Amino acid sequence: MGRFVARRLLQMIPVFFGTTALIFYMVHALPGDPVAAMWGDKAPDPVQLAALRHQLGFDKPLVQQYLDYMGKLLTGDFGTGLDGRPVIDKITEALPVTIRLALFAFAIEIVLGVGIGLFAGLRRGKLFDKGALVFTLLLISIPVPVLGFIFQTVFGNNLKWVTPTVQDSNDITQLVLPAVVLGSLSLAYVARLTRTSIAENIKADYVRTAVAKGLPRRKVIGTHLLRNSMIPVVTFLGTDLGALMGGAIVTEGIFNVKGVGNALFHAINLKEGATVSGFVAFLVLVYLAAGLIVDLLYAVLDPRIRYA
Amino acid sequence: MRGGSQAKWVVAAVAVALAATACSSSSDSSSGGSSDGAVNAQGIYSYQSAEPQNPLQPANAMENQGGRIVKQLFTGLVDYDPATGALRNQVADKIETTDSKTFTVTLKSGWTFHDGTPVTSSSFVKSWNWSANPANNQINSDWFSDIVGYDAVHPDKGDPTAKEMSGLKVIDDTHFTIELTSPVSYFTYKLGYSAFFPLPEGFFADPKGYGEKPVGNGPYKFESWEHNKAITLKAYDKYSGTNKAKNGGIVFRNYTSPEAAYKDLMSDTLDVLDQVDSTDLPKYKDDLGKRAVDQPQGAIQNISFALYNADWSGQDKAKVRQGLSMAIDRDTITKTVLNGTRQPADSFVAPGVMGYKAGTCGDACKYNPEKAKQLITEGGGVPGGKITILYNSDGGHKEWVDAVCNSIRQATGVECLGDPKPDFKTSRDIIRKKTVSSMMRTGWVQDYPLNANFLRDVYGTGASANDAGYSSKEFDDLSHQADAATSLEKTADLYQQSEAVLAKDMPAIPLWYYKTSSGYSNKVQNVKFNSFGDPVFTDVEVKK
Amino acid sequence: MPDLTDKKTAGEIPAQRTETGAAPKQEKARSLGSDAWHDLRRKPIFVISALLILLLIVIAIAPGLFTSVDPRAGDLRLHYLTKPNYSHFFEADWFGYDLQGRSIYARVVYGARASVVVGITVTLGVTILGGITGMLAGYFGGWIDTIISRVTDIFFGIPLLLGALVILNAFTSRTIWSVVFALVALGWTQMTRVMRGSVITVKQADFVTAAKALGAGTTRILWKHILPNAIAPVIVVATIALGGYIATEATLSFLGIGLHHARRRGARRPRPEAPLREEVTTPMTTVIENDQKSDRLDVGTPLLEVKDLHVEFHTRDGIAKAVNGVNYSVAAGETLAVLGESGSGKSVTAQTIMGILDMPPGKVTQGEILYRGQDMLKMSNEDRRKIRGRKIAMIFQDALSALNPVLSVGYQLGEMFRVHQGASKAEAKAKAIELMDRVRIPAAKQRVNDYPHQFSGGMRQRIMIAMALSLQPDLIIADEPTTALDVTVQAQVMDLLAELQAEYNMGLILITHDLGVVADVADKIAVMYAGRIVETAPVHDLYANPAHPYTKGLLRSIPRLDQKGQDLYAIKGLPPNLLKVPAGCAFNPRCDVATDLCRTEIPALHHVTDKDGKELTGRRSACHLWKETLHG
Repeated sequence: MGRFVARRLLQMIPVFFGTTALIFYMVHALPGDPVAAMWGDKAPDPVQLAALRHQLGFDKPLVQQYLDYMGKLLTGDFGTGLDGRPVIDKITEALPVTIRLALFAFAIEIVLGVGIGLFAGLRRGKLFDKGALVFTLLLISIPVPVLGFIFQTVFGNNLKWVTPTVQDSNDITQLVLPAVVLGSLSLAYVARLTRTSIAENIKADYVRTAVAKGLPRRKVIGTHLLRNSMIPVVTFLGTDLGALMGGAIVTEGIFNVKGVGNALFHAINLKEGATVSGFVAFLVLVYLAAGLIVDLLYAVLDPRIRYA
Repeated sequence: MRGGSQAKWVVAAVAVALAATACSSSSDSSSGGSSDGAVNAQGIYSYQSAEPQNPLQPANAMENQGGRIVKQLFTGLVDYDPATGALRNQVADKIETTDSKTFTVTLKSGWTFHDGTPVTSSSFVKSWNWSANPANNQINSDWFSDIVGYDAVHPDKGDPTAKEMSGLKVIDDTHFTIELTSPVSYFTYKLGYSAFFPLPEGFFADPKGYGEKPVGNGPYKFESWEHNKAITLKAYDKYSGTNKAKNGGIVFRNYTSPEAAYKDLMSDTLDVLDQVDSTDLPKYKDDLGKRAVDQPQGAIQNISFALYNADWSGQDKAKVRQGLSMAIDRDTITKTVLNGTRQPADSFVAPGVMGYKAGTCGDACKYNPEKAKQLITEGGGVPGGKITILYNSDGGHKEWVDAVCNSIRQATGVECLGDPKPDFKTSRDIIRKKTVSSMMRTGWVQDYPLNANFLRDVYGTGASANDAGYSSKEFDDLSHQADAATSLEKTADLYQQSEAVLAKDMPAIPLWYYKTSSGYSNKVQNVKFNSFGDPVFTDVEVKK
Repeated sequence: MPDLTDKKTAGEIPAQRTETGAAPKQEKARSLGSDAWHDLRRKPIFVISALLILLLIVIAIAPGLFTSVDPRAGDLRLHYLTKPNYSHFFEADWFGYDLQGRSIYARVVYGARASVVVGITVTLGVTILGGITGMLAGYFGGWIDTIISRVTDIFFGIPLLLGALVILNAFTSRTIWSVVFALVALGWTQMTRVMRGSVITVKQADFVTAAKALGAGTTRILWKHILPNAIAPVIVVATIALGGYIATEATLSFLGIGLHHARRRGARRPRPEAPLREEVTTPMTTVIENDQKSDRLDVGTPLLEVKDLHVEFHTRDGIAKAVNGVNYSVAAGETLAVLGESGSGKSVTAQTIMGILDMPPGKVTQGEILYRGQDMLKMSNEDRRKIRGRKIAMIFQDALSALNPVLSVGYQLGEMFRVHQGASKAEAKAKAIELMDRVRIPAAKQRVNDYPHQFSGGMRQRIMIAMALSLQPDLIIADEPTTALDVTVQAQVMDLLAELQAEYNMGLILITHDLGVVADVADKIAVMYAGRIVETAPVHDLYANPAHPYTKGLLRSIPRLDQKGQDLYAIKGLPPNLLKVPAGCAFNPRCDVATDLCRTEIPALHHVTDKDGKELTGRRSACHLWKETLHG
């Protein structure tokens, strides 16, 4: 196990460099000159343009820019954006918001998704199951923007339970609506995955054994059924947590949440290479860590899996 | 999500809060300036904004978000009366010139920066010299190019040979002179632009720090900047200008999307909207009733031709260009696709600008399918038998570009297609490099409310915004004469003559003028917008 | 997988399904072939979904069939002049006109077309690209795997928006194909991962090893052996992803960088919903209605009595009567062997006694199950639960699947004490070790925390036995306890079982299809065929002198040393297709001595007498010709 983890951690290094290099190149390949764009519709003053480009290091060859960037990155300097603000500031601003939102959505996914999936799987073919199928189908079919606007209008403008948008991204109570919207699609998937998994496993021999042992229903489900059924769900949840951490451009936009998705979106639009690379470098680490944790969690959930 | 800032980026440079000279009086009533509630003079209200893209330094305020905040923090020598639109003195007591070349500025005394230091002649001169220096990375550093000695501070090549422009001379604390390289009759108009704001002494020691926590001399002082969240300004008690704030302060609240802001306005969570998003445009007047704002703006939307392509040059093609202009049913498109948020254009200059003359475009801007077909045929048809209109798809232009193409296709049978580019930056890159094949969307927002700004800066040979690559000796000569005129009125008149040349050559098709479509919450009143599309921040009253 | 399914006797179910995951199920669905198709066609939801998907495909191929209106052409005035006319089916103004004056209906049609084309082509591209790379990574492993896996990691880190912008920008004009290209380029790694995982599992399978041993080339192995078996999860993911790609394309449009086709929020992804995969159960048994009077197998005081038990399964194809009036009893210390082929109802009876029959589809329609004189069928769930495990325990056939793979054996053993006796964790563990010692598992103390898969088959079965014995129940039901084991281990396990039974004086119901196993341990035997008991007898009597042709056939098919060199006898034919149980005696088509009577009348369970007409104790036979069989 230790060797497995060490090897995986070691393999993160080329992935990290590969991703940042690719991102760096991709941002560079984006059309448009971000510095010239500061002048809007006007032709930029060539002298000032050259001065700014020089100051930002854009006049160097791309490889040189990347090496400079990585050199600084390894010393913990994430560089600065076009607006002169350190990228690390932007990350530390956006990341806690996204982590909060992601965990909130994630909690909703797990609690509701697994809950609905469990009951639907246990009552397969019954009314609750059919209701759950229709409900999740709705969630899957309604595009996120539509769901967001409906929630805003109903809960924000009509019922006035909450403000339609998030006033303070750091206030977790305000993140309820966006978290529900963000989590809804995955909630549907989790519910369906759980349902299928439960419905399959409930017929497994070991569940029958557990019943034959005279275990109370609660124990049969909790100890024997649920744990086995969670294995495929955990895979999904693992990748989903990674994806949630990457920020949600659409949901954040609708609810005015100042998270990673929003920051990344702006940075890509402004072609801020350092900012995009900084965020992605960070996110890659999060993804890789999430992947590793899922793999380790597998081994915990299913002892048949062993890593060498 | 970028739409909010991007759509309004159109030209970006925006001056001090001012209203157009000929601003129609009806707009005031429609903007709902009624005062029916008790007012809390210390009340703070919120305004829809986005994260400024540059530090808050006067000559760096190119785009809207930072620009409008800088304009509240600083007051220049002059500004424009939001009610009459007339140029009025603020810090300047008077600005005198005899030849439109040398200007003598006299300052009022008693003006102070928010840190308590006095505003003096050198506050201006030092500010301008600093801003003009390319080493200081100010986007608007070339706004000082009229001044003698600019080329030493800001040379085309090599390092600067001087740090100060020789054309700026401080006489004493309240007097200084400005010498220009050639006469510019409307230079005083330019002085209202934010690049010409003064800076306090402390700024030069720490420009970066002051960019984060600006200290100005305007009606509001800086309170806090929570990045990506809000910028808060408080009314400045000791403000010496005429436009003292009638409220306690402003929160510029950061929104990721205009739709989100609109939702908040609907629930009175946000007080004043920047611009209604396109989704809500069809219904915003019903939603807001008296609180809806619909006012003209000093901005125009055009479609320019890639005249640098040989296909489009030549006298015959002017007929084709006029024909295409006549094939566009502006009335219907503005009413339907644009929900009445634009006003059909009949000239190259937006109304409400000094020197605006209705109908200068003449028949060429009137919908006439038969004549359109005839002119295009006479001109030998469109190059390649097909036209495309390049535009950026992140600015909400798609709908009307499609409609314009439809209109042209129906009226003349000419195949017309939109050519969307993913974002503003990309489309600008293509336009700037002059590699557009057929036609392109262009727009112009006034820097200052004078017709010269819509003409010389857009259609003059080699002008910074001459995207069409238009070059006409006739137009250039008339412009030069206008610049050298001795009075503003003469300048404006002469520019009207140069505008007539445009109608003949049709380097661009004027489509329509922008309007401000906005609104405000139940908590505020007396919200008026100027011709730049910004509210008159100081006049907004917060209800008790 | 294959070795597990082999052990199961295929038709015996429905309570016994294949044990895990989707894969075996799909195999089943595939093997059913036209039957499955036939079933599906009868499900209205399937028909509706299929028609909708078909409609979408037709729209994609030929939108012109649905509207003659150009979705791009519009007259601006139309939006204001005309109102939607919802009765104008398939006409331009069906849904009205948008602000541009274009027909919304035409735009929906053409928009749906774009969605379908994007969805299908992207899915195809992603599946092919990801499938190939995943196969290479999974099959070859090593550095190929490392490189491919790390590349997929890198792709996972690219924000969709950035990737899409960069790729779309490489195209001079934005067409549907550039969007397809972008989505494939950004999405293929997902499929690589799925395929890789699947191939890794498959390549360890026996048939791959076999193919290699037979000298098949790499290409052939990949193409013929790996691909068909590894593709299933990829297809599942692909069907779900298809909708996802359409949604992604819509997201790109929402962000202003997608295709600029007609707005088509209406087009929904087709849902691949469950009906295709599940509930393809075949009807098990159809048995002729019959009421059978018979006496009990009385030896000592009955511990458990099954009286006239009837069990049915309600399937879509009708009611399958799996158990039809079964009677038997077992006393303390006694061993009853229940003998029968697959589908004879022996396991269903056992499951009904345990109360672990799936209900539905199973249903007890008649009868009693008396435990110490109390009818368990009338007890509350809680009371029944308290009997299960504590008073009546069960040993299952396949210990590997019957033990929970993710819990240690110690936990699973200890659970009995914790649940039924409220023991602490430590006590439970100590008792688990004790039990493991008792069933002679070596190094019990060290192995108590091991998991089922870490034990050999025989050891696992011992653990099952230990679990059943843990609370020293009155009765143990062992359902084919040794079938999954090899012969030497079988004997050890049976000996252990017999020894423990004697020690604790437990009743034992031994369910088996193997007469050889029974001889040494059972006191009496009940032979079942098609849901009813056809013969009962004390074990030695039955071996010596069967009274039913079926039993006779069974006995003859046991290999014997004295028959060396002869062909082994086998009962001709197959167990009855439970959909079409023969009229009369269910065994008649396979019976050498069947008469016309056998083909029309169901035989009663006759008392059996010796040649002198003296009743033989405990002996019954449901054969019209029992006399001829017994004495003939």
